[in-house]
Parts: sequence; C-alpha cells; structure tokens
Amino acid sequence: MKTGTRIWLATAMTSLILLAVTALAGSSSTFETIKANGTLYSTKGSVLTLQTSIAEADVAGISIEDASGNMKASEFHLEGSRLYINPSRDLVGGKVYTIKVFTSSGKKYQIKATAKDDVNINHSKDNVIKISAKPEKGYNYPYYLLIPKGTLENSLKKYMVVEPNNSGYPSDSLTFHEIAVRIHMHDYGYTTGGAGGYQVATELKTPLLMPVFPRPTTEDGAGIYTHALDREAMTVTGADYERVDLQLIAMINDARALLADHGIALEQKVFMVGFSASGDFVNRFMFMYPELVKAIASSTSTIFPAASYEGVTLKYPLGIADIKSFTGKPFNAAEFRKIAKFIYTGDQDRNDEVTNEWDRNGQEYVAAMRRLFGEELFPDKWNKKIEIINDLGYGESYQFHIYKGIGHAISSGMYDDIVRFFKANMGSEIKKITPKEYAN
Amino acid sequence: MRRSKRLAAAALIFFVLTGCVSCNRAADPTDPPVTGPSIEPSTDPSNSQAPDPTSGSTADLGDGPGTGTTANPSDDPDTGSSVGQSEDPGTKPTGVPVNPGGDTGDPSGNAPGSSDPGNNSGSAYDKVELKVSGYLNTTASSQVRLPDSFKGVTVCGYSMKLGNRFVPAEISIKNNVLYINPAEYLKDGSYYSIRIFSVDKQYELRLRAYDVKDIDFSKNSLFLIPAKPEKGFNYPYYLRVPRGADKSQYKRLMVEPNNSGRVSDDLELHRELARTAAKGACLGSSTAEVLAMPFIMPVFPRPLTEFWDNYYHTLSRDVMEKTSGDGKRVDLQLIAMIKDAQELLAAHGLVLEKKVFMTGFSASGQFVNRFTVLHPDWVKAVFHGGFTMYPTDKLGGNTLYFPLGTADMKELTGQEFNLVEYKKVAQFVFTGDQDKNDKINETAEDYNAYDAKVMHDLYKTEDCMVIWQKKEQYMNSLGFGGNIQFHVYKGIGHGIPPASMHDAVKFFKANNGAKITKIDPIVDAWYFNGDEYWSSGR
Repeated sequence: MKTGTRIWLATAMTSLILLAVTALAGSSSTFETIKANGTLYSTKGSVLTLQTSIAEADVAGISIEDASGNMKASEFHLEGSRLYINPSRDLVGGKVYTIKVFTSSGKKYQIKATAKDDVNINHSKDNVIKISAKPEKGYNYPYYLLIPKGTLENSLKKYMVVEPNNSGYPSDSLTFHEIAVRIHMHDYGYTTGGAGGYQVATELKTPLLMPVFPRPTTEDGAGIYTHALDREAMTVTGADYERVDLQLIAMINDARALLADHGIALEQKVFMVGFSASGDFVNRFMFMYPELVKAIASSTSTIFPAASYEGVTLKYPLGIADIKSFTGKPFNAAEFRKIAKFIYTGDQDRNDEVTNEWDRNGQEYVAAMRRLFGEELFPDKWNKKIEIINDLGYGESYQFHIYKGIGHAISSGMYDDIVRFFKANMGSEIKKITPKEYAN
Repeated sequence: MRRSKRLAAAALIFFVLTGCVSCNRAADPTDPPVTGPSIEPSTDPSNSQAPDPTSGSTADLGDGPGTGTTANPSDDPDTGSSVGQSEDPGTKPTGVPVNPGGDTGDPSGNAPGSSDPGNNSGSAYDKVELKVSGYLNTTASSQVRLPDSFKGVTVCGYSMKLGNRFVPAEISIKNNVLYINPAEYLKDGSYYSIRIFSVDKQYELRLRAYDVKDIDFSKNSLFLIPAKPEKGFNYPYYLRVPRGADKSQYKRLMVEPNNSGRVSDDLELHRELARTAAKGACLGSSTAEVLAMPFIMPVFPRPLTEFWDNYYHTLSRDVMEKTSGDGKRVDLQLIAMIKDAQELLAAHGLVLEKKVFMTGFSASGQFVNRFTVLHPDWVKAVFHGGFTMYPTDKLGGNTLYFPLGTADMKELTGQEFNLVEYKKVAQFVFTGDQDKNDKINETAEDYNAYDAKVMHDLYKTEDCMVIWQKKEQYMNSLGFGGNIQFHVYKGIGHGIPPASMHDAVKFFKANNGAKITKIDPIVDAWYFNGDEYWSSGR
C-alpha cells in the first residue's frame, strides 16, 4: 500500500468516526417528541390533543408511519392543539405509530401513539365491533364481531357462531368484501343473503364472528376462492391470504380472549354456518379441525370422511387422503363424529349440478368428482352424497334435508330451522330436528 | 489508527444503524456511500441551528442492505379501491415535464426556494424544488423517477397537498423512484405538491394529475374517471377501451347504466360491481369488445336508505323528481359522462359520433328504455330487456305519466318529447319465456298507485307472456312497429340469455347506419358459440 493511500484511508476513517458521533447527536435531536392526549383508533378517525402547540400556518407536512417507517395514508387536520387523524386504511391495533409534523421553520415533531381497536360494548343493544388485522397474532385481515343484546345476561352455554364471509364475487377491493360482511352482520340495519349467522347469534344470544377475507381476482376472472377454502386457496403461498383456515382459528382464539375480558365466557367449540361458497368453507374446515367445531349448518356437503371410495382417491377437498399435509395430523374421526351437521338444499337449486367453475381444485379433483357422481344431476348427486356418508358409517351425525319450492337461496323459514338445529345441539348428544317441508 | 478506535467506530456506526436513525434512507441500498447530499446548495446560509448537513449522510454510511427502512414496492400497500389505468397493471414512470406555471395547487405561500418569513425559530428549512418528468394518475398509484442528484438523501417523512389540504397517500422511495399511492381520487388537471423532508431540507415536487394520460390501443384498457361536478356528473364512471378501438368502423360509445342488483349506502359496493361489469361481465361491455367500441358505465348509487325512493338504477320517477343533491337528474349526468368520454377519447385521437348504442337488462333495461324516450337525440340504437315505457301521453284511454309515458315529461324535465329523434332510434327489446319479474302486483312498489291501476287496466293479467304480447301490440298500434323489435328467448327466466349476446352484436352491426334494420334473432336462450361470437365483429 502506498503512503498516500494510507493517509487517505486514515483520514477517511477518522472523519467516519466524527461523522458517526455527529449523526448520533443529530438523529436523536432530529425529532422533538411531544405528548398528546386521546386515543388513536385502528379502524376509525381520531382526535389527539397536542401538549405542545404548533402554529397551523407553520405546518409544512404531517404523516403517520408504522414502526418500520412505512407511511400510512391518512387525512389530517390541525386545529389549535387538536390534531384530527383519519387513516384511509386500518391501522394495526396494539402497534405503535409515529405521527410526524414538519414545520416550514424547520422543526420536526413526533407523536408516538399506540393504535387501539374500538371495543366499546353497550350491552343494552346489539353491538357490531371491528377488530383490525394483526399479523403478529396470525391474522392478516380484520374480523367483525356481533355481540347481540342479552349476550352478557345469557347464562346458558354459549358457543361462538362463526360464519366465513362470502361476498359472491372476486374483488381486489377489501372494502367490497367488508361491506358484504357488514350486510350479513346487520350493521346497516338490514341483512340479506347471509348463511344464518346473524339469526343464530341473535336468537341464541351468543356472539357471531365473521372474518373479512379477500377473494382476489385472477387473470382468468375466476379469482382465488378463499371464500370456499378450495385447494388453490389452501396451497397458495407468499400472499397475505395464505392459509385463511389458520387465520380464522387465530381470529376465533383472539375473539374468545377478548370476549372473556368483557365478561362473556364461551365454550371452546364453535357453531359454524355457511351457504354456497361459505358452506364449502365450513365443511372443509370441519374436516380439518373437528376438535374446534360443535355443530354446523351448511347448504353443501361434498367432502367425505374417507381416503378413498369406490376406488377413487379422496384428496382435499373431496376427502381426507392428504388432510395431514395441511393440518400436520391425521383425520380425527372421534371428534368428527361429535359434530352435529345439518345439510340442506332447495329442490330447485342447480348450483351443485356442475363442477363449480369458481372452485379450482385441480384436474384430479374434477376427474374424481366425475367418477363419483357421473353427470352430477340433482337429485342423483345429492342422494349419492347421503349414500356415501351412510355407507362410511357417519350417518348418525348428519341430517340431510331438501326444502321444496326454493332454488339457490335461503328463506326465513330455513333460517328458523337452522336456529332450531343449533338450539337442539347445545348438549353432548347429537339431535335431529323436524325441518319444514317447504322453504316458504 | 489504533485497533480500539476502529472498534469504536464500528460500534458507533452499528449503534447509529440499529438504534438511533430517525430518518429513513431513500436511496438504493446498493448505492455507493455518499458523503453528503449533492443537491442544490442551501438557500439560507444563515441557518446556524440547522443540523450538520453531513449528519444525514453519515447515517447513510451505516445503512446497508437489510435495514428494512426503505419501502419495498412489493410490500406496497395494495391500491385498495383504486383501479389501474389499464387492465394490465403497471404504471409508467415516464411522462411529460411538469409545468409549474400551470399550478393550481399550493397557495400556502411555501414557494419552493424561499424561506418562510413568518417563522420565528431562525432555523427554517432549505427548500429545494425537484424537477422531474412524471405525473399522477387520478385513480391509481403512480411512480416518478427522482433526479440522480437526490440519491443518498436521508428521508424523514413525506406529505402530499392540494392547496392547503393534506391528501391521504402512502409515499415511499425505492431505487430513487418515488411511489405515490393516494387514498382518494385526484383531480384531473390539478397540480399536487409532494414534499419530502430530510434532516435539513424540504424537497418539493409538483405533479399534474391525469384521468387518462395515454391510451394503448393495442390492448384492452379500463379507466375509472372520477366525478366532475363542474362538468355535470357527481359520480365516477368507467371507461373501457378495447383493443383496436382506434381502427374500428363503429365510431360510437356503447353505454350501459350500472345495475348492482342490490342496495347499499356505500358507493364502493356499486363501484366495484360496475368495475366487474365494465371489464366485460355485462352485455354492453362484451358487445363493445366484439365491435371494438369504447364503452362507459356510470357508477350511480342505489342506496339502502329509503330505497324505493332512490332506485337510481331504473331511473324511477322519484329519482327524476330530485331537485337537489348529488343524485339530481342522473339522466343529464349520464349525458355529461358521455360528453366527457367523447372529449377525452377525441383528445387521444378517437373521434366518435354523438349518438350512442345502449344496452341494459332488468333495472338497467328500464333505465335505457326511459332514457331513450327522454333523450332520443343521444341514442342511435338500444338492445335491452326492460321495456316498460311508452312514447305517448295516452294509451287505451289512460293518461300515461312518467315513467309509463310522456304526459308530464315537460313538467318533469323542461323538454317536450322529441318524436322526430325517437323515430330514428333502432330498438330491440327482449324477455325470457319463463320470466316472472314483470308481474304488475310485484312491480307496483316501483310505481305509484295511479300507475299500478293504469298497468292493471292496460294488461288485465298477471301472465308475463300475455303482458309482453300486449306491449308489442300497443307499440304497433301507436305506429312504432317499424322502430322496435320485440323478442322472446325460450327456456329462460329473469336472466340475460347467452343467445342475446350474439343478437346484440348482430343488431348493432345492422343499425350503425341511417336505416332501422330488424334482425333474425336466436330463439333458444342458451345458444352460445364462443368462436363465432368473438369473431362476429369482423
């Protein structure tokens, strides 16, 4: 090494140290931390009262960032010492955010605030509560809770009702899926098209949980059928919507703890309802996690408790041949037998006739379906399903029923039956009901 | 240098790196370390209290790969409700130079390069204007390449403003590219100020927002155009430009009013359903794609609140009677959207005829039906399943008020019925032989008691097939038999027959000229041949 280079290096290293020291001082004094009163809500607008006044006219910029320094879109308005913050998308409850205020006079202020979910339960009415996504707790999407009036006073056994969301269309707008959830939760004062979760929860005075899972679009228009928990949804990796089954379990556990904190103790198992896509979700979920489920009501049942039948290998979501690859444990037949299952359809429902174009379970699945059900015409396919269940020796825990006079829809009479089914199956014994013959 | 000093240096750098950096480095982590920002010199050398300008760059020395403080585009927050400017996502970082002279933005007095005389701290920011080539999309995220001179600047925060108002947005920098993801629709033609705060400087970019910057006619594009109250529409609309629209012989807009089929006070639901439809999942958009015509669909509301008084998707009487608010005269708003789309396309070299083709089914069919009677001067041909309105004041001894007829059209709209133009509109209307949606007792809620009585008197039945035949007879008796073709598809209830997709193409092809031409329609509702259909535009 030449002397010149050595001198240059030494100089460089010395200045490096000096610079580092300066940076230490500089960065710690870059932002003046100021205190603020008020709550930063995760899912709605907030008002913080600043303890240090900042002249409105002097403000050159305001931003809010998460702990990683990612900016979050938000409206801001500073009025005297009151800072209005209205995030455009949810923050994560429990996480610390930094609100930065830059003034044209060169000052930089920061306010550290922990975002909170707005869990304010008024037991004299029905409550709809939104819980923000919490990736560190295992769920990347928000969920909603309905806590019906009278839940706190209800001294009977309480099973949380879980209805996986089903918005009917693929969409990359999570807001779109959230609106569907809120409609099914009766949050706008009316409900239509739900699978019965609202009716069961309000009748039995027990909480209802609905996740806000996305149903992403794809180039071919079919979308990823997360709402049906099909094979593609179960095998997708590297996306926020990876393994929504596990995310739902995380939500259930989170909700149970949250409700316990508010004096509402729930049974370990849950009631599940689903119609159409969400009916598939409930069925498929129940096969993987029977130890979590007390009873279900679903409009579909196309998964069977066997690894093969009539020489056809029944892989997920047709059976349990490879269920262990998803759950890490074998099919739990004993727990599965304990689940009371009400499976219904309308005599004019033709949604089950063809292998569903939205469902993407692979060619093997389609071939297996064809071998089991042939041309899949109603009522042959329906009867065959019952035959398989009975043949496998699981008929005891299933009740199948066809409503006359209805297609791919649920009537209020059917909701009544679903409520009665769960009411009858609060205990240890599996009970069947006498359902209505006609839907209307 | 002694070994301990080296260790101290290393420890300090590590400390700076892990514990104390309040600002995030903007530049590519793979960039070579720089010793100071090489942007313009400080404009205010009197800033004695300003932090050492070298301090930021020192932090940079330690800020190697993996610190995770710079935003990664793949982690970019999803664009949420924003819809890409083209169906193939991917915004272009290129654009025209910004013209600060045309600024409609920031009147706050924070002019770039000047210090604020009102501050009393004596340490005002150095303000630096960044000259960039780039623009903002009004309804999608945008990317702008920053000048090379910006590389290495340590960023403490961002802000986006229009005038005095903060615009909610997510902003980040990766590889010296600025990513801007606004959470609201921007205003076409407005200049937005984006500020990047470093330790000692406030950088500012001014970017103009565009609804449609470029149209690539070699592919299908979908644009969401935000509401423009100043141009007469208070709701957004979708514009779809199919591949080859620049070379199509059909120089018209195809228009289909949105029909959500459900109520919600949240416009987002209606927007998303309109997006799905406009992208191809509706009769009009699909036909437009086959004929390589541009297509628009409004995003009109259909609120839950007092829903029978707010059935916008049918253009009901209650809706037409609104005299104030965003929902006033949505028929005129649709015309304003048509004009806006025509102007926008003309600016991109696609000049269209004034009159449009229209499609609709059920609620949107009724909208088209009523719109045709109200504004025949805007309509060339219609193909829909929603015939309920007659172009007459009186029928069978009954006076027909809107929306059954034109008796009070002047009072309602200020315009007389335009018979001359109406007679020029080619109409094809259809129903399914099992469709029970037209029963008078069931549709009565959409009408007042008088109208319900009139309908009972006109049809004297609840049999929808008989009602349909009578509609055709009435139109014939009124002398419009040559203008309108009635058709029943067999084997379908209240749904859009796949066969109607073939017929719509056939019908509009036949009715692009001056003459009204009837077609030989398919009878089997479920007939559909994809190969034949997609090549039928040629």
